[in-house]
Amino acid sequence: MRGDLADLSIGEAGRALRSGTITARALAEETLDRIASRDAALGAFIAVTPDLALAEADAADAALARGFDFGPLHGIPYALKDNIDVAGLRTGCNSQVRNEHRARSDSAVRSKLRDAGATLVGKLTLPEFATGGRGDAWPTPWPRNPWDSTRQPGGSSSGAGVAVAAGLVRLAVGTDTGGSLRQPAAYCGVVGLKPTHERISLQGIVPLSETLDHCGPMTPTVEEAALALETLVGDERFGDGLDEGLRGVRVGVPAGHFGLALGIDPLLTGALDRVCAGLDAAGASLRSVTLPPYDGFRAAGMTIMLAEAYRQHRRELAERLHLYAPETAERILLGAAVTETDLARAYELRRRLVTAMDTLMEEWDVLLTVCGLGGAPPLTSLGDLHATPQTMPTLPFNVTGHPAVSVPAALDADGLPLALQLVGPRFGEKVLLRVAWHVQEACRFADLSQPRHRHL
Amino acid sequence: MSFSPIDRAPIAEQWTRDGIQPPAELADRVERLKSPFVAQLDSLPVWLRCVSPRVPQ
Repeated sequence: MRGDLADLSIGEAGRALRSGTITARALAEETLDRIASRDAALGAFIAVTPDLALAEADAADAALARGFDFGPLHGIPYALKDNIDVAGLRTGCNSQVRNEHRARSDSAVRSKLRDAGATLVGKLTLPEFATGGRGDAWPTPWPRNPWDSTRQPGGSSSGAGVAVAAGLVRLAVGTDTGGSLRQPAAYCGVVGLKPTHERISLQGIVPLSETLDHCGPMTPTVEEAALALETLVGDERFGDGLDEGLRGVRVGVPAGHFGLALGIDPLLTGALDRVCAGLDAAGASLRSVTLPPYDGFRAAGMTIMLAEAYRQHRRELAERLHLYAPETAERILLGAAVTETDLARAYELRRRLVTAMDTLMEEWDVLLTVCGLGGAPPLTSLGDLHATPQTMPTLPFNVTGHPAVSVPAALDADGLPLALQLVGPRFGEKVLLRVAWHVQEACRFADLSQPRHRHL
Repeated sequence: MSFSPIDRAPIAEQWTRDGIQPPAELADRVERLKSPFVAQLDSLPVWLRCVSPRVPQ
């Protein structure tokens, strides 16, 4: 069985591995072949690890042959964003500052995936230190959005979004500080899951903003995100019962979507209406809900993000400023404007927003809103530091730490993906993913179209 | 928590304290980015007045 192994879902590949129809080595070889043939045009990978991948695939095959089954990712190829440590490899963060770096040990997520028998095929690109900008001076430029190479892939888990959308891997693991998993997933038409803050350990991940950073999976489908989360968390089942009805599940739809409603693509609003009808038919109870204003989340989030990034980098900036891309340095140096009083105020505002959201989530199982305002913007609009956070409905849930997932829902007038976002109660990923599965079913996004680069 | 206005020193003073010496062109670009960002910092007391500090029992 060769030729389309890399298109098998994680569940399908797992069943084929256990039945002996395929081997982890064949799956890894085909994945590596596909990366070799497609990624030159896409630029999703910063490093490919064929020797490591084949050794891990052989170990996975040997374990299965001896009767050891390490779980749903056993023998499954995956890739990591290049701010996540893998022992012996450079964690470059797409920066010359880290040219000499070699990780001495595995990050917590890499350890979980290694122990689960998954097969690492490489490291994925990102904006320098997971920031943003045009990328002219980064060692590796922005990767190409597989739907349209003149459009942004989203960031900062840009390589992850591109790799999953183009069918290079079924699973990428990245980080999300203000929407860095959900936004590229939305622009690339795949599923991005930001679990509850501290649900997945950040040990061995280069921080951007240590109290806003989250780690999570990106996959083509909700089912695969659930299987990945099972492995990354380790002691809970998220993939069971996704297709159960929603009777008694309370879904709140934020009125006005944080005040951003006027800017939302009408085709996305139409998809939201269809999804609401689908959830209602599945038994959910839907009502409008009022959230604190987006600008409050934004003020707290941007203050904390820039202050923490500056504190993280200031020693390196003093010693090796010349190695940073100028636009990365601009963004990080701006954090010096945050005084101790500003930061104390931002932390207090966050505490109040967390309390407000936790109180609200006592009455709701899931919130349903948009993930962005429209499809991927043109590459030519990259670089405006102040434009992006004004239109990121993802940021509030980094501020509060609630779990959130983006699900592709429709195509815009240019044929580009549009996505919805669902938000759950703290540690409520099980109900969150169940509702997300029903959203996926209501939208049938995979039937609408496929990105151009899947057909190369 | 005090909501009094903050007397903001030039951003370069903090860089100097941290031993960072950006080239003049880079320093100028950051200064230009600073105004809209400081407006956000100055909005924090407004949002603190809007969002209740109450912790539900």
